[in-house]
Parts: sequence; C-alpha cells; structure tokens
Amino acid sequence: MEQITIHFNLNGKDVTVSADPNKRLVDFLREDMGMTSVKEGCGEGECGACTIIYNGKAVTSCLMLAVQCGYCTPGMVLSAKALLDKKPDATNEEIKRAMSGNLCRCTGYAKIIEAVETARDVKGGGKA
Amino acid sequence: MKPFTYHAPTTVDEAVAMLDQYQASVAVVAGGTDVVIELNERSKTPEHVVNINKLNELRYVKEEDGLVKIGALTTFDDLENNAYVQEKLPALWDTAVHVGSPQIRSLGTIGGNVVNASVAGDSPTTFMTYGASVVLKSAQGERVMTIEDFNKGPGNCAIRSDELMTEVRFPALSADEAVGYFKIGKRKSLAIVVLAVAVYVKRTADNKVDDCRVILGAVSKHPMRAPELEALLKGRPLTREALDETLPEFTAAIQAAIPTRPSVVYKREGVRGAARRCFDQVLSQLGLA
Repeated sequence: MEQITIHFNLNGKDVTVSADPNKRLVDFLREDMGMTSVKEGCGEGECGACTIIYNGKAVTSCLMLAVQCGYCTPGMVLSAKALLDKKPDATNEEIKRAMSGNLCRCTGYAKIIEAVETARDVKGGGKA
Repeated sequence: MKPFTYHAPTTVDEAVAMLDQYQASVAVVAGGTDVVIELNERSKTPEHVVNINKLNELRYVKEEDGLVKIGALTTFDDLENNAYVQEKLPALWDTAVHVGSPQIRSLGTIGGNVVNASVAGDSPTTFMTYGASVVLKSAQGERVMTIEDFNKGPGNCAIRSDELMTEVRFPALSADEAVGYFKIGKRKSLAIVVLAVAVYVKRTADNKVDDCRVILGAVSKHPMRAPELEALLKGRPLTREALDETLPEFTAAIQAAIPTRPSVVYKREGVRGAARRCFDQVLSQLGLA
C-alpha cells in the first residue's frame, strides 16, 4: 500500500514521516515512532490503556488511524467521477446520493460534497 | 482465502454443466457481495468457484406471457435504471434503491440476494409480495418454485448445489393491483433492513380489498406472511381511514412473532408507520389517494 507523508508534533518535536494509511495510531506510535509507552489494551476504545493527548484532548489511539486524512479520498474521488462521467450536471441531491456509499471518519461530509459540487461547476455544468 | 479452481462460464448451459460436474464442492459467485466475503473469511472453502457474472443472457427485465421475468444476474442498479421497473413496479424500484450503497448496487444481483436468503435480505420480501417464483436450472432440467417455498432461511434455501437460479418471475400487475413497500434501516445508506413491510392489494370493482398479501421482512427467519393481517384487510374499503384501522393489529402481529427479541420494542411501534406508508403507496397507485 502506498505510504502517505504526514507532519505533526510529537511530544514537543516537529516530525515528518511516511506512514501506512491502514495503520491505527496506536500501532504507528509504537512500531514506527518507538513510543512503547502507548499500550494497547482492549483495542476497542473501552479500556483507556492507549490514551494519548491529541490536539489537547485525551483520546484512545486504538480508534484512530495514523493517517487521519486521506484514507477515504481515493474511494470518494472515484464515486464522484463515476457520477460526473454519467451526469456532468448532477444536482446536489444526486451528488449526496452518489457519495452515500463512502464513509469518512474525520469530516462531517459537507466539505466533500462541496468539493464535488465545485468539480461539477468547473468541469461540467455547461462549461466545456 | 483458501485456494480454489476458478471457472468463468460464458453461457448458462456451460455454467450448469460445471455445477453438475463440481457439485460436491462448489460456490457460485454472481455479484460477489456476500460470497466473496465468505470466501475471504473462509466460512466457505469450496474446491471450485464458478463466477457467473459473464452470463449476460441472465440480465434482463421483461414482460412476457402475462409474467414479469427478471434475470437472476440483474443488479439492483439495473433495476433502478430500468424504465419498466420505474413505471410499473414502484415497490421493486423502491426496494432496489435502498439496498446497500451505490457500489453494492452496482455489483449485487437479485439472484444472489434471493439465494443468499439472509433474514434481513431486501428483495425476497418484495418478490414474495409480488407472488414471485424462482426458476432453477440444472443438468436434470428446470424447476419452478414459489419464493415462499424456496426460502427456508436463515442463509438457507431450497437450491441444490447442481442448480443455477436463472430467473425470478411473477404475474404482471393489472390496473386493479398495487404493491407498497417500506424499509426501516438505521440510517439512509449502507443500512441493513431492520424491518420491512410490503403489501399487495387487488381491488374489487367498487374499490374494496379483493385479495391481498402482507409480508413482514427481518422479523422471522425469512420474509413472513401475515395471514391474520390479510384476513383483516380483505373486504375493507380502500380508504385511508378503513386501512388505518388495521394498524394496531400490525403491532400485535410483531409482538406475537418476536415476543422475546429485544428489538420487539421498536419494531412493534415502527411497523405501523411502515404499514401506513405501504397503504399510501397502494392508494396512490390505484388512483385513490
């Protein structure tokens, strides 16, 4: 699987590393960053053993992907392409429906839907 | 996945010959939305896999000899985009558009959905309401049986391992017949059926219920006919008020069917709303709304 480059601050240090998009944050921290103080307990977000502070908030790292953004994007892009190839002037409602089979765990979907609307307006919708 | 020998027949005859030869240990893949998961998880470990998705001769919707005939390999996306289904079979259209997600509807076939016989399958409930039968083909010949007899559930139906399901068929509807369908899921997309209600009505010349079928999905091991509700509806005037009077009995039917299941608490309430929407559709299709 293709790695994705991510930038973040780890315990006060800015780091840039390549990470597997299919890795959970707990595994990424332990295996890639050597932070074995992060412990996996239940693996279901129940026990709290893997708690880390993420952007100021305590979270269970077993429920987060190491690469927080972009995991859903390739699938989203293809669902959008399949729609706009067939219906370049798709309505906002048709866009929502076409994207309904793709889950995103980070966003509230609004930005994704807006992006497809923008793609439609720029590419199709009368403009050749 | 456990290794297997892969076969991709291009005609029904070829597929049936393969099933005859490999029937001792074979899995048929149509859309793959159930079987590929089972292969991947090794809950199915056949020696032979027959992928039938090249059998384009099984992808059709047509009306012939008073019957609606739908090829087993017809996908839910095909149904959604089929003009005949849109116009003449609104309940089937409604069923199709609420299956899984766009990606799953592009792959999933009606044959696979019926043969998989999930307790929460989408289309078997609707097909049963249309009074449908399935056509099963093997080297021994062809047999036709009603979906009601075919579906043994859960995950179990009367198909033999040397048989290929080729078609779902049911009587074409006259202007005096209508079918309503409503699915309750936990969200709008990628939602499994938690409860489905489907109602078939044939009217008399003076707009009363002449004949009817009421099917409840995801309640029993397989789509369940509710004869007590059908008896209650028969003879009733086709008006909103007269039909709505039966709604408490839908609650009673759910309560009786699954008295100890935790989900009875919301299913017995939700069933009234689902049934009311079925009545709405029936009245509207008969021009009585």
